Amino acid sequence: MTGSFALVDARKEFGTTVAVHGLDLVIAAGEVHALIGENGAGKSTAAQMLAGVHSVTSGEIQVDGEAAVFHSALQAESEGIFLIPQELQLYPSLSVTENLFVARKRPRALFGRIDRRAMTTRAEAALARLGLTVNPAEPVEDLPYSARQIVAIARALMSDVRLLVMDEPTAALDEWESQRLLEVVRDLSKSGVAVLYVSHRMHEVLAIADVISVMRDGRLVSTGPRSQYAPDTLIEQMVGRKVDLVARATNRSTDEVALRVTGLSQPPRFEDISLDVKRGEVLGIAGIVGSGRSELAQAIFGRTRATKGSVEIDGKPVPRPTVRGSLARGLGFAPEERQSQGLFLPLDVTTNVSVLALPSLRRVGMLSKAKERGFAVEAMRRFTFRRTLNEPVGSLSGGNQQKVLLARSLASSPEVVILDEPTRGIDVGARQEIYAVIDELAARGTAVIVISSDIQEVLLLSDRILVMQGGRIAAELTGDDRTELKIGEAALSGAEGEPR
Amino acid sequence: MRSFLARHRDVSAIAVLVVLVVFFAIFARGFTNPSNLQAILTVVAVTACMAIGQNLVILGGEIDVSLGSVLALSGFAAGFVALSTGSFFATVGTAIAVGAVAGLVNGLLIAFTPVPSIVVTLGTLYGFQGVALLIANSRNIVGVPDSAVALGAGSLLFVPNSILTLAVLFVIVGIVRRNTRWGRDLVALGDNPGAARTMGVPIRRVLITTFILAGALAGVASIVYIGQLGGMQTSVINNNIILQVIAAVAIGGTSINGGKGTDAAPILGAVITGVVSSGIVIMGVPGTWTPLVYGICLLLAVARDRFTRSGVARVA
Amino acid sequence: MSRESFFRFAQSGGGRAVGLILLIAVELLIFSTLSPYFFSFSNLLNVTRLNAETGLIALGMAVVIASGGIDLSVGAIVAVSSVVLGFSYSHGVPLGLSIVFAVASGLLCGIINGTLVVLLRLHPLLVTLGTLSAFRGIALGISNGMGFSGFPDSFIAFGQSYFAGVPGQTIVWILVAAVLALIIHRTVAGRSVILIGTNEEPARLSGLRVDAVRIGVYALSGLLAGVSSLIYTSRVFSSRGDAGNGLELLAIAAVVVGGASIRGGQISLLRTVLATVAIGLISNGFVLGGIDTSWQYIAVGALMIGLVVVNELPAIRNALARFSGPAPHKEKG
Repeated sequence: MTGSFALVDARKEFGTTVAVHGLDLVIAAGEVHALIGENGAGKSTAAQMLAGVHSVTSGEIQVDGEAAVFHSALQAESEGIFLIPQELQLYPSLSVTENLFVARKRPRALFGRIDRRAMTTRAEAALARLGLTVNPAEPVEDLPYSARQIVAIARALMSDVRLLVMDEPTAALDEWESQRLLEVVRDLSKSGVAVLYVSHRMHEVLAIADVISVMRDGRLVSTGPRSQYAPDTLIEQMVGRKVDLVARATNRSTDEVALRVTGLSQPPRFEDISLDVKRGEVLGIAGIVGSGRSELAQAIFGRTRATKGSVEIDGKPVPRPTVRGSLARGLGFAPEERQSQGLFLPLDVTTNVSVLALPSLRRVGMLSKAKERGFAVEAMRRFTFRRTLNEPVGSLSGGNQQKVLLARSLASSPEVVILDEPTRGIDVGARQEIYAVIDELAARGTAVIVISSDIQEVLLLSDRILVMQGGRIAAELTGDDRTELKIGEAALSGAEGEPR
Repeated sequence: MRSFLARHRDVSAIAVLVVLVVFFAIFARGFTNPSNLQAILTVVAVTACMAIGQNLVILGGEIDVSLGSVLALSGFAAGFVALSTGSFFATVGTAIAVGAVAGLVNGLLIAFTPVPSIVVTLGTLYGFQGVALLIANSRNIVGVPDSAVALGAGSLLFVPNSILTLAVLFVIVGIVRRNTRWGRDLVALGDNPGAARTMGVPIRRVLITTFILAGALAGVASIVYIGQLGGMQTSVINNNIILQVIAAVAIGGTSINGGKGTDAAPILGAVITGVVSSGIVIMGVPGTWTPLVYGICLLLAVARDRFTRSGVARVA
Repeated sequence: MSRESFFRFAQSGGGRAVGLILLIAVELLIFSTLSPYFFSFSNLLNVTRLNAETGLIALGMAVVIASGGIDLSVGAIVAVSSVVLGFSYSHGVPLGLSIVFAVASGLLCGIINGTLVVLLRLHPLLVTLGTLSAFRGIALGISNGMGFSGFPDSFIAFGQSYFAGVPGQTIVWILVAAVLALIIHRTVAGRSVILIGTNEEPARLSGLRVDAVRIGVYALSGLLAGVSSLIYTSRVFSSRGDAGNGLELLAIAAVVVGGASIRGGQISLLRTVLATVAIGLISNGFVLGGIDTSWQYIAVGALMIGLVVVNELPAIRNALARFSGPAPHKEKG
């Protein structure tokens, strides 16, 4: 069978955990094969086995019906299999051209010199095929994310790509850019390239796939032509049970403003932002990646400095917000990137949870291990947590890591909390639990700001929703106006930027 | 402007150099004498040779602090060969071979263990130093015939051979770095090691090649050293020179974090340090104070990097 | 003990300390066959006496490395302090005050390092490389390249006194290690060092005083270099601008042999002390055993790489388990 790529009974173990149990998957030339599943379903691992990044623990990979063994991505690439990972593998300070030729044969001129002109010409050709017009001499770090993605695909096109594996390619793209990318993928597949499109975004998968495979808990649930699938069947297969996420029942807002932000600016990230949150209220901030939400949160919390505007906590102005000042005034913050901004991965749960409370955990000036442990036990009690407190946080699952992060921020009973992407990449169970905790916070009179790019999450949680777009507040939605459609419209209003 | 400077690192180093030369031309009488300018280049030749190798290592995101010991090791090995044979090829061959083997040891340890290069080369710094002392056996090397170490002794058409050697090395390494897969992939590796690992850069081969080259260049530097001074003293076996070598690379504009830099950085950096040392001596600063001026210059030179970066004002 | 649990123990902090003690024991056994003088208690005390200077600096270095930094200027700070001591005393400042000046100058150098690291936001390797040169220049400049040795006899107390047969500097060394251990493990400042060295951004977002701690660790390192310099100057009874040359690398070696990661976030003061002794014993043993001192460098280098490789064995095994594929993962710096 020519032009086909397959995983046959492929299994991958990492230490004692099994990421993928015997998976069978066949991708044919010219088809877009979507691999869909929740976070942690094993779809990325499957993609990486196919692309040689991980070896198979057992089972095999077949190219054109013949067994192939890949010890590295390079070997897979020599068979025409290219992976575009979620975290783009580019070289920020190198030029676009140079990026396309890393670990590649470069064209030669006289005396074995590298032919820079030929490199540029070939780079331009590959980029043009994908409809990207940039100066190939520009360093990749100066390009917008969507253009970098195209550069990564162009890298595959430079060689004879037969199978393009794309892992969550639209995770950091806005709606318009995603549409553009889907067109590129469609064109590629028409030209005979096989595409494995890994995603957890249902509407995208339904829009682009010829064949769909659903994974759950490291196993294949089903596989079949696009026509066999509808949104509800897909969800059911991905989640394994009916989705049981429920919206918060009651609006517990009071009239007391806990946090007020007036005219806060930090151009070009965000400009002229005014908002307030009341005790007992959950304020959702929606918006696509890059709309300035996280930057706003960091400025309110005092991690970065705004150029204009003011912040008031409990009616008292905070002249120049600093992290220490914000914490002392009862403002809590759980950042977006839990691994790089939130947690101390090699250190144990107790140490991670107690950071904010250290001064109060002293006995005659010295830190008391007993007090610290007691504090951590108390802080984690809010959540179901079945691991021990002396395990390094880095060895926990994403959901448990998020619980540790939230436990730290909430342990000191802040008056206002800002939760930036509180459930990114965690499973449904942990997500439901965190939603319950947020409701409980509101019930106790805490003012909560939830920032999320997951529209469903914002809808489930918020009493009131602000939508950010291009660094400004594009809409404020309350009551029955809180719909997926209205959020989407506001988030994308004016988002038709210059096509690159 | 910021991104322009960030992209054209040579420009800022050249600007620093020009400012310094103009300053000393005005305030240090005799600084611009051709003989003084030539002397500056001659003095920095050894450091610059080593810096060319160190620059490659640092571009690749690693560091080699053992090169000072490699210089001593190669120097003593080659010195004794020169004394006993008097042969140019035997001497230079020995120096390069010994340096390359030392580099191979570093490269293998770095490529095949997860130990960071600063730790590996700190260990081999002691190891090579010990071997150098063993070979020296508390003898100084004196009276090496110039012909055996012609790379650093004598001159051709009024240009000292050490400058010629440096120029040839610079050109060759520059061409090779820019026109081979190794040289191109090296910079990519330093820029994003994670990507290089998954995207098929032969990391081990690239790293081992780089460390061998750095060792071999230190070997050549040892010949230049002997050629200039006529011998080797056991007092060379310390590690002051390696700090100057790293300083030269950083001053020349190669980022210590890897992936960002230029081929000319080590030469520019070494020349800048030479200009400073010479200038302040001519201005009458006592030699004992030169390290102070030198240190301040190093701090100022590397601090310019800070002004080519942009970012949000962060507060604690 | 099963193989698995043995490996786990060997990788733990206590296991590594036991490993270092075993190493010291092996060294003692080997060297005592070479020299009858070696295996005496007084020689052991002498080893600690000679290594206290490096040992104190290694303790400061351990804290700096734990915070994610490095301090290459410690050797030069030793010279500055030593010269300040000699210069002050020879210019009529009373000995007591000269000593205060000397130690304070070490502290000041450390504060300068810390401030530059924080202000310039450059790699501390480059910053302290610059100050290494600058401090060395100050020491050589003030002393005009000459030593001073006209100290009064009473000055001998700092480097050559004994209490109940135990050298004074050994006691100082152990006390400093104990106090530092208490600070690191039981105070907010100490915990901050570890947290910042582990991951700076969460530390900042947790309101830790990152910049103050940064300045603090370099100040501590400078202060300990000053104290070390006082002991050195008293022991050799002369003040020298070339004092402490190369000490920085020896101190880093001691910290690394003690099993701390050069990337920060880890510290053991006990193991730093043990590692300093283990390295110091090598030179002492080679000298007493009449072996060419060249071998002592080779031994130190081999010991260092060997121990670090052993410390990283789990990572190496993982890398091998993923067959020949990608090279082992390394953080930069």
